[in-house]
Amino acid sequence: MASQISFAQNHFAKTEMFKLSTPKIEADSLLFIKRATIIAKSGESGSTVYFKRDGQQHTYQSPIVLKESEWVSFWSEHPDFESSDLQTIEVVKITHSMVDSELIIEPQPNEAYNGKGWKTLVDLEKGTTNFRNGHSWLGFQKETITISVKLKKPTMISKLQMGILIDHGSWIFSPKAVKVEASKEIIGTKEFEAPSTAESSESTFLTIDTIPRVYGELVVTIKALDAIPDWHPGKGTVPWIFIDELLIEP
Amino acid sequence: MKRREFIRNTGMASLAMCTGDGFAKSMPQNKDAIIGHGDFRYKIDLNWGALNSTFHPLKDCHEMVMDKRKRIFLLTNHTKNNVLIYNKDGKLLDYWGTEYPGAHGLTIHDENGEEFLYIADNERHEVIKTTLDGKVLQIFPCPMESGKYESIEKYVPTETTIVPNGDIYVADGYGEQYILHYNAKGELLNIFGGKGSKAYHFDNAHGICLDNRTSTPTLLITARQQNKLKRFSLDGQLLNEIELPGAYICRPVIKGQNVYLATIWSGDGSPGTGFVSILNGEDKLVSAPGGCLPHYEENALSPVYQALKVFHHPHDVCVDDDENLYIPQWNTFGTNPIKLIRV
Repeated sequence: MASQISFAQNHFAKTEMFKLSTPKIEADSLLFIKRATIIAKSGESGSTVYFKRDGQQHTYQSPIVLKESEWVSFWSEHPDFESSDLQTIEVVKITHSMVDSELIIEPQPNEAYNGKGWKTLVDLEKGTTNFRNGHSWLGFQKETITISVKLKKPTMISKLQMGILIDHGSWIFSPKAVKVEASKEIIGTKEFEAPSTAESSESTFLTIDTIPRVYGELVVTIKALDAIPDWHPGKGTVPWIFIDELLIEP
Repeated sequence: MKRREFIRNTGMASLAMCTGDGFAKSMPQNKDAIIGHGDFRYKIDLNWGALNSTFHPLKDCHEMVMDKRKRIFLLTNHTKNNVLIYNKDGKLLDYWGTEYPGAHGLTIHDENGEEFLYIADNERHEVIKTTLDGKVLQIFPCPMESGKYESIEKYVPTETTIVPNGDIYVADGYGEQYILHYNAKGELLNIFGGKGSKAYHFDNAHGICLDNRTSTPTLLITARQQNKLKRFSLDGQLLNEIELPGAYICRPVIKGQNVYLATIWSGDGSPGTGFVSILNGEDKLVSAPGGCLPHYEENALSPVYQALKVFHHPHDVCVDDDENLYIPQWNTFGTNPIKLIRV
């Protein structure tokens, strides 16, 4: 068996061997009160950017203005190169700010990823997939994380959203389950399947429906996957969980 | 015909020889990909230096340098063969090294006609000077005597540069962010940089090189997480900063009047978003192979981002005498370096 692999002399890579990168998306805010504006562009000359909203495909020509919570998917195409992957962003309209709430987190996040402490979860700043930069994320490598929330005033709640990061290459996974309690009663719970293959990095939200009612205090319990799945180099160890924002909706 | 013209025209010539409707429709599917901008454009060789991983496994491929004999040295942190030596065609000539689990920085220096390597090992927490065939000559351990380090583990060197008088500068890029200045005997002369919010501080002082393009040599040091190059005098005074927003640059490599920088991540720093950055003699980004077209507004570079998925995590650039580039990559499935052939 040869120790080196031989190739023909002229083997310059062809255009179709390469995929366009996902379009660069700039949103003035992923969490907004009145409107959000999204700009998309491709770095490869000759590319066209497309986007999909409400199941309809459009050619991107000018900034998109959103006034309600929405998912928008973007991609690029080029005559010579493979089309890019989809880049989906979720823009969330905030109906109730939790800025004045008090939170207690147990246990504390890892000191390398402790953001701005508990205020990270109510600062209305959505973290990006670059978790190493800035102070937008709380990172844990724990089996269970509990967040106790005391709202400034009792509020109607039918849905809780939690910002999470998925970055399997960095051993960061979605939780196994999230439970929401009020006065020791379970008012909402949701389980999430462990991924069977590596997924794209994503800063997204988990949504947990609750019994619609007025609440003054909540306890959110986050359960990590028992272990990183077998297909991953880190199999068997407790994955990281990164959270960055808690939102409530009436 | 000059060599670069020949390479530029090769694709067109081979297409022109083939005619017919059927082929014409598939022509776009047979174009050589060309990346980069302006005068710095390249064809891509993905197979350069491909090895049988049973015999020569690679992990992170961190850095590459070329010696006077035009041999190319690749540093990987796989301890079966930490240093692999190739010719420019990618033929493996030799290999050595089993004791560098954190092999990260590789610098070559000509010392009175003989060349030596400096390996920054971030698991051993030291810098090791060797001959080109791997004989260890000198070790620069954690400078505990400086009083700057609580423990040896806090010192995580990533890169070195050696100046004409033999002094050595070490970038503690994954540690306390100091730049350590030694004389050739290994005596610590100065420490500067460090963590903090002042302009002279660093966040990930990942790479360092001597810039001798002007009559007064200076040090160019990357502040990778800050997307900046910082220029210092040899005695550790900050002179200026070069802003490269969106570019997570590893180490500066100077060839002629240009600075080449592997850009491991871009945009918001997401994984898999790397490309190569090339600056001109005025410190302006003029080409970004794999990245977007550089654009300046009022003398400020607009944030850069990846355009094409040629690279995953480029970690260094080695420039040969034909100005072709060799790009080793970190955390890229143990793949061989990519060669870019200038057109």
